[in-house]
Amino acid sequence: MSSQAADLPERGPQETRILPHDIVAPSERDRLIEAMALTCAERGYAASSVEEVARRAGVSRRDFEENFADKAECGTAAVNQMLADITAAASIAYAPQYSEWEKILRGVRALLELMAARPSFAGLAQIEARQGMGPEAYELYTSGIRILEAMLDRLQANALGGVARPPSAIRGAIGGAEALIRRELLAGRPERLPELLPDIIYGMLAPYLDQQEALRYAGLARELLNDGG
Amino acid sequence: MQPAARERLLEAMLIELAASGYSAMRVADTLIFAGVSKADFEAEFADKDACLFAAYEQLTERLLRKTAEACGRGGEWPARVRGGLEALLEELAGAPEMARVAIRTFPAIGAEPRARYQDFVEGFAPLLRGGREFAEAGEELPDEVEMLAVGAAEAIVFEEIEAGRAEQLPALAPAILFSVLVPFLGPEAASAEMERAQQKK
Repeated sequence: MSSQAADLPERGPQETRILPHDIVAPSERDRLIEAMALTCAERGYAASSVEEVARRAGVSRRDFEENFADKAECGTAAVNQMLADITAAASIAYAPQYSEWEKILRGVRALLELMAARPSFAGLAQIEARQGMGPEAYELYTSGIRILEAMLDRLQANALGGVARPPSAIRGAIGGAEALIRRELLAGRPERLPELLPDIIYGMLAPYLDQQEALRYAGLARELLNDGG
Repeated sequence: MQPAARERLLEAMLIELAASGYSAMRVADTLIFAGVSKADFEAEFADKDACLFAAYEQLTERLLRKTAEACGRGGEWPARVRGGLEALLEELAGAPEMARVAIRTFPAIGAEPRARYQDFVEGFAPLLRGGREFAEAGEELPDEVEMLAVGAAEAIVFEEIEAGRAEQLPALAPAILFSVLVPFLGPEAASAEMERAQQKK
């Protein structure tokens, strides 16, 4: 079943006391977006209603309609927000002092930590947008995948030579990671996501590096986890 | 209900789901289409959802069984994986509407159907366990190597079906095989197996 863990609040504490449940976003629009993510995590997008989302955000149906045309628009806004946060988190890890391999390692770690901290949004972007919502949300999901593909594509220049790799290898490398992430989110174990870093790194690098080299990077990922560095 | 009638009903449920969508589909129409009485339906299933879940289980069990049978047909491990993958892709390509029901239409219904889809995907992982014994890296391989391989194939297959290209999946078998084998064997050996599969086509 979907994760029911509440996302960690990331915004200011204003208005916290007068709001129901676990929504702490400062603006009405942001509260509705958070409520949408939390409701979808519990019920799935199809079974989530505007009334429930509005109630959870502590606003009226009319307030909802002033912010969003319909459920789909609110859901899409929530997916968009998570994708922007994912891109920002990964970009920070792409500092120039790191090698291409280290950038991937630190970027993936940032993604896993973000998804562990915000499991409802992660589920919306990773599961609902892919399989439960409309074409617009699916388009957003695939645009997020294309960004990750572009990041991974930079490894091609340093990849093991003399190997014929199909164009779909890059999609497969990301798909392996996604399968593990979806499994943990659906099982309600988002806190385990950061622990998957070594295996996910191995899966992403395996098509490009000599196998022992990919295993070495998985080992470095393990050290990074253990050191908390 | 007779097994043949039950199978016909479950198949009709998925056809109706594909044609009308979950909200609009009507059990009464499906019963007429399948030639099953309302009384027989009610004796077997509590409601529409119970019947739909049974139908999805029948579909996914068949896909897993066909894959497992082909995986068990002998040869070295990579050849067995290739056989299983080709069988699965042929099944999906042979019924594009059912392929879409399997990956998208049924899982879109809600949280529980999505969990069933995840179970279905994870069901392929045990079929790859022989890879640890075959791979030189063996015990060094990550705990999750089977799911990395399954997830890689699922991502490629999902995108093709979603893009309306299910019928072309068999042509992609060598490329998908690369992604399934590479976590176990590394890029050089996986690439060699991909080229072998291309030559056999």
